[in-house]
Amino acid sequence: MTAVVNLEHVSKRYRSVTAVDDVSLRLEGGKVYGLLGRNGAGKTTLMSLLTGQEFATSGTIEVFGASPVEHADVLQRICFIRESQRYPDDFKPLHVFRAAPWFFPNWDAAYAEQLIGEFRLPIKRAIKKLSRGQLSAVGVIVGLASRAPLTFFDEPYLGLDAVARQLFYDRLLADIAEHPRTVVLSTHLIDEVSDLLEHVLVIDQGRLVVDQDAEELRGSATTVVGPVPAVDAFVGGREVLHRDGIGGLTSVTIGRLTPAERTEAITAGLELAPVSLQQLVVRLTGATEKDQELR
Amino acid sequence: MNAAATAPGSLDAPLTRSTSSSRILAVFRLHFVNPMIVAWMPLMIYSFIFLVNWLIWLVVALASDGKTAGMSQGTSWSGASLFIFVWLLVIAVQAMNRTFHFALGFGTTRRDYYLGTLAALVLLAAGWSVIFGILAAIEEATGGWGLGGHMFAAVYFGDDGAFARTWYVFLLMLFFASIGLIAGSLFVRWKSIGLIGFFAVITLLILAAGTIIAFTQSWPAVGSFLESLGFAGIYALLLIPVVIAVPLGYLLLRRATARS
Repeated sequence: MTAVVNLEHVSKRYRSVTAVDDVSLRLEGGKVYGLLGRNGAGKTTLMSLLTGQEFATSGTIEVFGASPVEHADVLQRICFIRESQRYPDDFKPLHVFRAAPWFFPNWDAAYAEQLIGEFRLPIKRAIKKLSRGQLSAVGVIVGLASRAPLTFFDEPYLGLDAVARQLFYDRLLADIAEHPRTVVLSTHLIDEVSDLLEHVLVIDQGRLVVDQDAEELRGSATTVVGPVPAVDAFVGGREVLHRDGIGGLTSVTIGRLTPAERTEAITAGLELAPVSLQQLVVRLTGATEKDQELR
Repeated sequence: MNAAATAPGSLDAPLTRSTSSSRILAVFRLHFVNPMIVAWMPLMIYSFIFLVNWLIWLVVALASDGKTAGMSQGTSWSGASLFIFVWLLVIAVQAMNRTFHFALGFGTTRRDYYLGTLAALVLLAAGWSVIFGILAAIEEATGGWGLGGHMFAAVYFGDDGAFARTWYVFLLMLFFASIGLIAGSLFVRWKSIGLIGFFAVITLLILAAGTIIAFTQSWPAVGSFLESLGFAGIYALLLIPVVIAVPLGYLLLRRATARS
C-alpha cells in the first residue's frame, strides 16, 4: 500500500505548550480520514505541520515521500484551507476563485461554478463582509474544486446550515468516487460525518489516541440494554466503558462481542444496540459525561 | 487498495526539488488579481488630490490677478504627490502579511512567494514611476497645468530632465517598497514586537550616526559630500538599503508561519 503521509515521532512545542506530542502515523492513498478531537487538541497544528506551514520541533514528516517544507512539488498536490484562513483585505470570493487555477493544477472551474450556485455564495461581496457560513463555503468550494491529491478540510462546516452541510457531504462523496484522492476531515460533528469516514484518528492533548479503521472502531463496542440482574450477569467481568440506568433497567457499553456472545445476549432477553462513533470517541478518550459535548 | 494505486493521491511521479517558474508567476498574478487596490484606487485618489490642488491654484491665480511666478516657486515644494510612495509601502506590508497567509494556504513555498512578490513590487514601482514621469513632463510642458502649479515636477526630484526624474522616482519607490517588505516580514515573523524592535534599532542607529558626525564636527563634510553626489548620486544611494532589504526580507520570511 502506498503511504501518502508518513509521520514518525513528530512533536511541535511552543514555548510552554506541546501542541503535537510524539505522533507517528501513516495515511494511505485514496481514503477519507476523520481527524477528531476537542478544541485545542492539536488538530490544526498537525495539519499545519503536514502542509509545511509549521516547522516540527522533532521527528520526521514525509508527504508524497518528501518533507513538505518549502517543497513546491509536494505542496502543489495539497490543499489546506484552514478554518481561520485569512484572505487579503480587499478580496472578494471571485478573486479567490480566479486565482485558484494558477495554484491548483487539477482545478475544475465548471465544478467550482456549480458549487458556488449550490452554496448560494455571493461572490461579489467583500470577504470581510461574508457570514461565517459563507466564509466556510469559500473554503469548502476551494477544497472540492481544487481536486488536490491530498485535501484537508479544517472544520469545514462552521456556520454552515444543515442544508449546506448535507450538500457538502453529498458532493464530497460523489466527487471522491469520481476523482479518488486522500481527504482529511477535521471535525467536531462526528456523528454527521461518521458515514463518510473510512479511518478515524483521534488526537487528545497533542497525542494520537486512536488510529483505527472506522468499521473496526464502530464494531469495537456494543451497548447491552435490559433488566439490571440480567445485564450484570451477562457483562460479568468484562471491561465496562460506560453505564447508564433508569429504574430497574440499565444500559452498559462493553467491548466487542463475538457472534456467539451476541446470540447468548439475545437469548437472555437483552437488547443489543450499536454505539455511535461519537459516543465511542468520547468514551475512548476517557472524557467524563459532562465533557461529552465536544464543543 | 488497488483503487489507491491508481488514485492521484498516490502519484507515482518522482518528486524533484525544482523551482517552478509557473508558481512564481502565479504569485505574481495573485497580487494583481484585484486591480482595485494596486491600480484603480490610487489612480482615483491621485486624480482627486490633483483636482483639489488645481482648484486651489485656480483660486490663488484668480485672487492674485494671474501673477503665477510666486506660485510656481511656492508649489515646487508641494508634497501632494508623495501619497503614492506611502501607498506602495502599505501594499508591500499587506503583501507580506495577508497575501502571504493566503498563498501558503494555496500550497506556495515561501521562496516562490517571495520571488513572485518581489517581481510584482518592482513592476508596480516601474509602472507608477512611468506614470509619475509622464505627468511631470506634462506639468512642465503646460507651464504648471496652465497655472504655474507643481505637483509632480517638485524640487525633490531634481532638474535633470524627465528621464532622470522618472529614474529617481523609481528608486524612491523601490526604497519605500523595501521598507514595507521588511516591516511586513518582521510582523509576520514576530508580530508587533518585531516591528517595534526594528524601528527602535533604526532610530538608535540614526541617533548614533548623528552623534558621531556631530562630535567629529563632520557635518560640513557630509554636506559637501552629498552636494558632490548631486541628485543622481543621492538617489542611487537609496539602492543600498534596497539591496540589504531584499535578502533580509527573505531570511525573515523563510521561517515565518501562517498562524493567525
